[in-house]
Amino acid sequence: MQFGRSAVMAGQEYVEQNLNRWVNRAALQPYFNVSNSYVVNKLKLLVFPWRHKLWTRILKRSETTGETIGYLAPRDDINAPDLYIPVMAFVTYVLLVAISAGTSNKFSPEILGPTASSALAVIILEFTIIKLCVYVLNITSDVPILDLLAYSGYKFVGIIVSIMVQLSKAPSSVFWSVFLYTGAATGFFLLRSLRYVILPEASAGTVLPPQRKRRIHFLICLSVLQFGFMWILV
Amino acid sequence: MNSQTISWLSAFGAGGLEGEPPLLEELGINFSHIKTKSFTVLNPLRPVDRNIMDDTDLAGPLLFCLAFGTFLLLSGKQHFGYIYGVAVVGCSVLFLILNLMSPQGVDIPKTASVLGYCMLPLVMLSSVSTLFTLNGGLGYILSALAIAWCTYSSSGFFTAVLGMNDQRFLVAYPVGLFYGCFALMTVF
Repeated sequence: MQFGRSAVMAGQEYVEQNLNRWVNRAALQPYFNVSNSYVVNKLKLLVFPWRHKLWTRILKRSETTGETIGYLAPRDDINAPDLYIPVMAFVTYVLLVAISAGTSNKFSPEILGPTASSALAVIILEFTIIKLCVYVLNITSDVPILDLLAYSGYKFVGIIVSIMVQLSKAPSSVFWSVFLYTGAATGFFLLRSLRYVILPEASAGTVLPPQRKRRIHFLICLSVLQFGFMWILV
Repeated sequence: MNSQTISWLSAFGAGGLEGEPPLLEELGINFSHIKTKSFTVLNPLRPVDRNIMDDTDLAGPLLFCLAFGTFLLLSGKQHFGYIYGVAVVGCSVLFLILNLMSPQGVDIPKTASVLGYCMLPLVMLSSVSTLFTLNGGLGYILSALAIAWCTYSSSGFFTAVLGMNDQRFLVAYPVGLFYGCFALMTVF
């Protein structure tokens, strides 16, 4: 009995050590610090971003020195990116693709793997493009990788809506209009969210006008590219 | 252990060594606990006792997974490998997510144990699928019901064990996706 228990504890510690090497728990934890109301409001924002006014993230100030120590958690700030919604949307997308294959009698469990990996490949492609353009445009503000992955993952929400419309066997015009609308909504959402990352406020150094224009063009291209990415995934 | 009095013949008999506990106790399989936990899952209206998952055993879940696979086999689908794959991947992802979302964490055996016990309604769904195919309107309704039942009971377990009362729906959604994968294999 004792031997069994100590073996299990040793195994548990081994797993934890190796897991901590791959998964940086302290870095990931703020992204999952969400509440019910945050999730509901963020989903509403993703589907209808046109009326939202304030898009800046709130800075967190420490109580003792008054300095800024990062941003507020998603639970307290609707503009903060989180990883809960993108991860859930990604898995839901894979399941919905499997369901739509099943309703046309083409399902086998083997399609789950390639679907998931191709969706992941699209995310990584978009992340690479963003990082490349940030380097080329000489944007000095360093956005955390997880933030960019979170913003890339938000498009799955629009894709899920489009696939659900497709599953309900509505006519193809309804599907295309829903797809175009969700693509526009996701593009606009990204435009507004990334604006404060790519065009920093006056305190972070001066941005010359030509550079500013190039950066704005980059943002607009990124939003339009959302359509392309979503079309691949649908 | 006095090795002189044990002859090599005892390897061929069922006598056993001195002071040895019975086999089931040594393996940690406790049938009455398995029955209690199964009935807790089957009765979603009863409030969950907080300490019910203190002895996390994986024997019940393993039994349920094998039964699930066997019923699928009986309806013509040999998906044992996929069941194992989805179970392992799903358990690890849920373990990661639950640890990141809750202030106190769970460990993998407890996650696997809770998820495995709450798969009982899906096992019943798969037994129904041996009689008639579920790929139709009634089948969709039954499978949605089974997923909802599984998700309700396991999110009840998780919120009781982890103490995350206001995040019950946030816990229920990934768990629902996990059981949705299994229901996909049953229905299609």
